[in-house]
Amino acid sequence: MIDFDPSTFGLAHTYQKEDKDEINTLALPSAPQVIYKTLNGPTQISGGNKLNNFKHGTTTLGFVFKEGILLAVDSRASMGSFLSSEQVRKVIEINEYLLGTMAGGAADCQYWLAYLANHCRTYELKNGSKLSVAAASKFLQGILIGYRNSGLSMGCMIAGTDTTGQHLYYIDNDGMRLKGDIFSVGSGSTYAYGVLDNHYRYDLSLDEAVELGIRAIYHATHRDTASGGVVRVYHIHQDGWTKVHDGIDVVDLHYRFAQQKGLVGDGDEAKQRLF
Amino acid sequence: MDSIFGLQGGDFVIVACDGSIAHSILKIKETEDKILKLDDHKIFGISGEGADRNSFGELVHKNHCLIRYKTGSYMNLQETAHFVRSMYAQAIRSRDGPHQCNGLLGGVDSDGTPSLYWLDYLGSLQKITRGAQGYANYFLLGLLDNQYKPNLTKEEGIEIIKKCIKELQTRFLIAQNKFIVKIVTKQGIEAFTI
Repeated sequence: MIDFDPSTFGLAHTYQKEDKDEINTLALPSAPQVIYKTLNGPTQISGGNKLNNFKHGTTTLGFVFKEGILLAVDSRASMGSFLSSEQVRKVIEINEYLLGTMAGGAADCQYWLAYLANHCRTYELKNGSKLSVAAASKFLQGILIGYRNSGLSMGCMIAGTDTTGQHLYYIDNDGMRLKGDIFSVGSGSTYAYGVLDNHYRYDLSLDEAVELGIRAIYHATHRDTASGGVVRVYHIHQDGWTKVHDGIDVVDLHYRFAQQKGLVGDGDEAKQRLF
Repeated sequence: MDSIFGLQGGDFVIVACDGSIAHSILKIKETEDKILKLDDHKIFGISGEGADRNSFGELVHKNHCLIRYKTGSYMNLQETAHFVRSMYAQAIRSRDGPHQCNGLLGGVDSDGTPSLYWLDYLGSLQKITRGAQGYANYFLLGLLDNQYKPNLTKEEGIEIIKKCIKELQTRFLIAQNKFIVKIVTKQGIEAFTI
């Protein structure tokens, strides 16, 4: 997969293909030499209509605040109307200082984030210093641009810490890479944005941020059928990342939040009279 | 859906862009800077879907630097515009197809003459004094034609751009709240958000 030619170790080796040719112009990065083509073309499980073509059943969110970055995700995987799993791990631990979230095709996200992890480690060994978050996300963007029309489906966030601080990037299968402070990806993202935009401040404390992340995911899972399961929360700070919550059941959250409002949570708030 | 528009004055060029990035019905980001700084006196505002805008912008920027290292100096505006046009033109019948983005390239040469160029994804190139890319054309060309006069001062130019932004916010269906404006003069580039 990657060419481990020992004679290149220790050199700042950026060109691997065109070294012997004269460099006339810099070209767009070509896709790595891994054979990956879908057999039947891109599948259309949901989103035949362009306007509602969300990145498949999930809700993931991340935001930057004064203590670092908070990532919160749900854990449901659905195949059409069948729930294949309620315990998926949608935060992928790339290495001790980088995390990636998964939305869209699970296989695509897992494979390419593992490829990224490989690249990060190789860079660290060859160059003696860790790859920055900006460089890691740009590397992934380059791959996705190369595979642009091959039917990949990924809407992931890369979050991590490096010498310049904690950074959050959104990358999707169209090859778009955006740096930002708040992102939410997936079919439940619109519901999560509603809660996030309302309560987000940069100077949240860690506890407030965790509570915000949990609430936003809960609200998304409540209204979006394709999101659910448990909430997992990660915190990225200058020393790496910490798993704050490994799995809080959203059903428990539903009754807890209802009780806080003095409601029972049985859905009968409107007290409809049938006769 | 990006709005890029600009105008050239007596000794300056302004290029403005909206800051929003949208994905179906969601606005993912509102503060994206779509105007690339090629060097201290050249800016290139690019309009197009996310990946194309980003990757073509990177391509132009890096090749611009490569030419500077190979020849020892930066190209002037006319050379840069023609170089970018040739990059568009080479891509049209290539395997990956044309670069799906349009642009406005503006800047000031070392002798102080400003220029603004309109570039298209098929390799069209036109030197203009005022113009826009995308839907902004429909709303702003009338206004720009009406307000433009030769040898505008920088303050007059900024006023016209503010009127353009107000017009887009009034009449354009898509809400574009934040705009990024960059002005190039002989002293360099100033940027601010409106």
